[in-house]
Amino acid sequence: MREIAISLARDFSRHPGPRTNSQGRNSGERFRRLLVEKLKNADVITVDLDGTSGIGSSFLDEAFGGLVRREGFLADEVLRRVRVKSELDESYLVTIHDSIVRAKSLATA
Amino acid sequence: MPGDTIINVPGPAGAYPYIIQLLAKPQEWTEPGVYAPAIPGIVVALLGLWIAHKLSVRRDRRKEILELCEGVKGAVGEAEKACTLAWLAPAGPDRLSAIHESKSKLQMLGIMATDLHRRTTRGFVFRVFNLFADIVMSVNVIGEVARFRDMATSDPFEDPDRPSDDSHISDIAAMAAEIHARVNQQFNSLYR
Repeated sequence: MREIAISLARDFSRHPGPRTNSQGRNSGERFRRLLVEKLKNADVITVDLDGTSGIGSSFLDEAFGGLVRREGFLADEVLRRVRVKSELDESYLVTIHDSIVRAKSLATA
Repeated sequence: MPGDTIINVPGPAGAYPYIIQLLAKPQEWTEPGVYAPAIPGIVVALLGLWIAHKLSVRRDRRKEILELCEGVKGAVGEAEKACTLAWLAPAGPDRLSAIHESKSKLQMLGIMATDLHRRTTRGFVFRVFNLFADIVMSVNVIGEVARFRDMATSDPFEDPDRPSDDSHISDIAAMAAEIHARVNQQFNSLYR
């Protein structure tokens, strides 16, 4: 099983931006595209959220919930293949989990 | 004297009593018997010192956790203020700056809440008790902080084209108050 680790701060931006590209730089939409590229080459991705200046909920929702809503991944597959970690702020993990579950509910509705 | 041994030795004029006195052996300072009477007092004193130490440690820990809780409540207030300003700011560089500040304050709040949860998590014995009864295991407001972040930075928070918006202010304030109350309630459950 091929696993890779990426750091949001180091491999994307220390200043994550808004939800979509049209709203500003370093958007959740752009990060989601990065995740999709990485998922093509790995079975499991571990995303480290530490080291940024702060992440908005819409960024996280677009980046992770968007994998279900927009990229067609199954929610269970995202939860299995995309592991998120944050040593400093565990509330991000709650937000991301809720985003994926919400996206699953919308997909099945 | 009691303890003396008298030996009557017969002699030409009758029996001659010889008294053999066994003197008490002088006690050496290395003998435990010298100190035995003091042992109960020493045990009581050590027990008292240990109890005082434990109570002092508990008091210091309560004070430390109280300071952490007050820190989290302070961070909630700062995040609430920053998010309110960001929602009310007119479009432009001031809003971008306010949004950046909001996310930074929310992250600081999340970090402090995470630290508080980790430092107040109870040990194995309480985890066993928790299987049978619902008890407070730590001061944990991580879920509430996540909901606070969702509420405070939900769309269209970062939309540069949105107008100044005060519709979220009361919800943000209510969520901040809920976090305050939860921190107090859980702290009192752990350290009353």
